[in-house]
Amino acid sequence: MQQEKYDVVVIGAGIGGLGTGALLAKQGYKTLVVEKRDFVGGRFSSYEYEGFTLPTGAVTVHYKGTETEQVFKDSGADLELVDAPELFYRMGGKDYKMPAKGSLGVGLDIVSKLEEDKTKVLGGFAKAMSKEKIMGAFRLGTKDPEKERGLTFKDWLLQYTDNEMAHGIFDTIVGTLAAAHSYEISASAVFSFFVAMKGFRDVAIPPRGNRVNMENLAKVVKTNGDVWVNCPVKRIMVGGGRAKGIVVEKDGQEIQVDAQVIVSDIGPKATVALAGSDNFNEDYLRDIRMKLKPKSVTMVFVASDRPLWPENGEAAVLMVVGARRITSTIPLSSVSPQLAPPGQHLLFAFGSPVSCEVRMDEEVEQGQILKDLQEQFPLFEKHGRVLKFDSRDIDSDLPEMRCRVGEGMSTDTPIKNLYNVGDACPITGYTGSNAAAETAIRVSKVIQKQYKPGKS
Amino acid sequence: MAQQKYDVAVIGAGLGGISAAALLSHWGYKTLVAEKRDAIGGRWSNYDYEGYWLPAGALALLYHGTETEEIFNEVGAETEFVRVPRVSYRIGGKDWEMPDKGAIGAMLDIIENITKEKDITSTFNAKKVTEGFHKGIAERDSLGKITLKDYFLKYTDNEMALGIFDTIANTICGAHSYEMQAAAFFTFLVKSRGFRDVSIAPKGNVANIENLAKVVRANGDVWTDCPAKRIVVDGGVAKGIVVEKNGQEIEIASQIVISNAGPKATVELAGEQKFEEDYLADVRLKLRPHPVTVCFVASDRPIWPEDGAPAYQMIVGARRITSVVPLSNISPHFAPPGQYLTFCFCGPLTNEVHMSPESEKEQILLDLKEQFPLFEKHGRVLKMVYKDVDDDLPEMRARCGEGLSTDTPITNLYNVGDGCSTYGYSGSNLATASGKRVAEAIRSSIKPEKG
Repeated sequence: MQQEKYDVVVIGAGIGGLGTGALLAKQGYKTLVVEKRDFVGGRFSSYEYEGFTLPTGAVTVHYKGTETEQVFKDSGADLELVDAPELFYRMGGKDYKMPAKGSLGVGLDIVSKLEEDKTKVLGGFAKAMSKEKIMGAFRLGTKDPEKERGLTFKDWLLQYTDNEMAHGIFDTIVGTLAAAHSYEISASAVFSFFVAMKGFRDVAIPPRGNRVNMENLAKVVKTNGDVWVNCPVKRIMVGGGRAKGIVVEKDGQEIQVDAQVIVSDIGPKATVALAGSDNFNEDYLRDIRMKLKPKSVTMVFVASDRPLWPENGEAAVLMVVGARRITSTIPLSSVSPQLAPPGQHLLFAFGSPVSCEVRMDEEVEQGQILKDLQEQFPLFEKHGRVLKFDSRDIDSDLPEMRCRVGEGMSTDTPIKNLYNVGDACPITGYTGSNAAAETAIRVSKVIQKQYKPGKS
Repeated sequence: MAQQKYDVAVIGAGLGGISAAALLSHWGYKTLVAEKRDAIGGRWSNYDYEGYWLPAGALALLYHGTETEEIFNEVGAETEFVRVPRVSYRIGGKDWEMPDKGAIGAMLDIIENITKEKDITSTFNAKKVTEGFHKGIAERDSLGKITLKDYFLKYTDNEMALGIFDTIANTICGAHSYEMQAAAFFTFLVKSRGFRDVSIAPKGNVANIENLAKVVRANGDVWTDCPAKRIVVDGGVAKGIVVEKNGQEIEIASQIVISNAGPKATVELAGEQKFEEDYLADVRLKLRPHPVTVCFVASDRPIWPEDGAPAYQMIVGARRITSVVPLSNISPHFAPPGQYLTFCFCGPLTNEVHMSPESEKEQILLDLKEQFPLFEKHGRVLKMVYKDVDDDLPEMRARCGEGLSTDTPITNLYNVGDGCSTYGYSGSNLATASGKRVAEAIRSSIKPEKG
């Protein structure tokens, strides 16, 4: 078998893996990143589809002051993003523009107003919902997130109100930001998230797709190593409790690559499968079963011959409260016209199934989403069509998220020089690309402390 | 306003309300039960539909050795029940009859065989999971709040194995394994002695509850078509109720008010401002009704078991159906001559949101076609009953092991029914246990008025 030698081998070119690879290559480690797919980026990438540029996963990026920004800065790679400035909430069938700060309070005000109006029409009592009480409790929650560990976020809110629209607002926000329903995430995770993300601001999208950004990171790796695509890893070689290297398939040939350190960005489950489950203790395997509960989602891309929302073609983000499946939509081509062919428009909608405890039924999900599109966007039937449904089930190779916010695994494994990176190993309150980027920074620092380049 | 006087006024003639009323009447309390519907029984009633005798709620229940039996015995009311002779499980598309003891272990063994047939490298270990099950039973009081699914994830992530527990949880508690606590599940299994002695009323539960209502009538009244308009509260004490009867409001003065309308409705009837915020928060938080769809299938021959034998089956791994009871095989009373009635209990994926009847229906129809080869040729859906999370008569008012106290912040006002918690209980026995508890509390603190 052909043999190669690197300081570091990274399996998987997602933002966690490629981020780690770029940071270490920049620091002088001879690094190989291997990717089984034919493109880099994993869920932080994009592809061409009928002339449109579609995201493979992450649609929006929070970048100002985040770890995602830091990975690109520290490795000297360009990160192209444009802001999607306006935020709207759709409640009770109407769109409300939100301020950059304090949108939660404004949302709850609107709920109160809508309930009052309903009461005027129907008679009876307004459904009690005290905004001050909820906001006060929310602020308390963000001060001491750990306190609410035992409750789901929905249960936490039920202490104060059972108003369905108020619950809907939170479910939509949590669903959009943390990709989880309010009943599938702990209150403490939501509060930690708000603390970590400093609210819902500076949403940006990559104007030409994230693949461009990830190729910039790949270039950094290539200055002191290699990035191989179309190269599935066959196994991680383990001996005497240490990882020795990997066997990877390249152009139909198996190649053995020895390394001081192995970093896996394919999720802890796949890492175990490659290294062999008998190399891991029962506690670690149990943690994998219990802590990795992937979130499922259906991403919907809608093509149209005129903007479906907002109808004037403005750049904006819409959070939809109380729809069947859709929790947020972004008119991608209104933010960046390059994402659609000339004269065409591209709208993205995020469709969340009712439970991520069981597999989704794609037919049911797509049927419900279609109804949402018809109900929410009057122009859809005449001017739009579903370009693509992209369903990511709980057992998908690339799920929406590998674990729920507030859960997940350590980046360490029972094998000393084998690390996991990616969104299965987030720190408290982190999710999505920033969770993955943070693991890249954390693991690359650990490696810099413990291993010197060029020793292999 | 017309006025009347009773010792006890009971709102709602469900099993909890009638149980409390029957006990109290039997003990000498003059009792009125006011029911807004035109029939008594609530979810313990039956109705005629195209000649079929359909249950409104409870179907198969644990009777022997339960509070339900104690109440019927105490007041001398007759019951008619037949024991379902055969409980089987459908796993991997095959039906397996289970021994009375060690059924879980036997099922896990079956799964190990199926799994290894499919994948020789499978590491699924039935013995390990069975040990986990027994450990759960033994340590049920110290499991904390872990869900049933998470508890078994400690031992395995085999979908079929997790499916067994999900199916059992759904059948006995109307909840998915990820929506109920492991401790409540294990406690239920211990208290129900393994959920083996399952009884069905051959003429419907309404025939049995009617016997309890007779006991009430011997020392009081049961009014149907009489909605309660409000509960009269004065200085933190319940003084009676106002009901509507034949278009007239009547004030019923009573020493005690018992509500079987569910704690939420109780609060609305007494006025939200009469309750402190902690209690209202509990009502919101602890009453999490389970949605369910009950599908009645009519057929011109038995669709399962095809030999027409009485039986009961739990199905592991179907889309929605978790249990099936061939009702007319158990008692011909349930179907017109020459026709057959099969009951299918179907759980939507979550109890956190409203169900979508159209997608439930689609999925259940697919289940019927996939699970019962005779369905397409010989059967038809007679009726789908969707009980959503906000249904007035939900499958269960609270998750198994949760629920409220029978006491309320208002003196002399009690709740009964399945919104009240008795740890490890579910369904009918939850209702009768609460009725018995409240009746006994009243008996020990308040005497019936003479004359």
